[in-house]
Amino acid sequence: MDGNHTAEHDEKFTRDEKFTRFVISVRPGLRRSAYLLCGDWHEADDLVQNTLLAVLRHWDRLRWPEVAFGYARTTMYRIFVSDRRHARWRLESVRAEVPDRPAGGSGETNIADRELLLAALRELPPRQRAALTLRYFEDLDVARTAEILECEPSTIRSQTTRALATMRLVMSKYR
Amino acid sequence: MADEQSNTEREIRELYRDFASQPLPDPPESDEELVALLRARLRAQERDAEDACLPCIPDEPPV
Repeated sequence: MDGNHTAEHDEKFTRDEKFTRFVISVRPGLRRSAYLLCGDWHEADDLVQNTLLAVLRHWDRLRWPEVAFGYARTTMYRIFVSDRRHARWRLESVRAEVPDRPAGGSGETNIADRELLLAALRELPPRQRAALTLRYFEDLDVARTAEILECEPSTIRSQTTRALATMRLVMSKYR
Repeated sequence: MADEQSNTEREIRELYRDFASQPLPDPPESDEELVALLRARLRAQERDAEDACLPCIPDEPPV
């Protein structure tokens, strides 16, 4: 999210214009996080759309951009966890093959590492994946992560430990 | 065990950073198109909510 959205600066914009500016500013970040959660761009874009719809529904009450951004992020993680819980998904069926590590130069190595990360993330249950993404991608502390995922900090700690163990196992297997 | 965990943690942070530095693919619609779509979806939801409050209209006249 950019830092140019000040309340004073926003005064000249209508409610609709403010929402459009908000979408432009937060969409890239939400898409990136959503992709780490979903592991698929199509599903990630659906998740972002549902998230922004929830924000639009409450837009009149979200008076400050920082509040709106926090609301959007929390909403996206909760929608993700809730959807996966209810659908129990085709998660298993869409799981991609873990790629072999290429023998090429450093550029190729980076791509393989990235694919390996995404493949290993897909091995995690949704809540563990969400906890890991919040802690290490969004760089949030345990307390804030627990607040977003509506659980105790101790639960986040144990989920993170289990998730890291799974990631270590998957990544070492393919190296 | 603790060392292994912190190594994995560090590695995952690096991989996340690498992912964050990559360009994003184009979204399926522009920001303006997305906003228009969201407004249409919200209107449809509000209309459905209003309709849910209305009494059913009978298909036939009362006897």
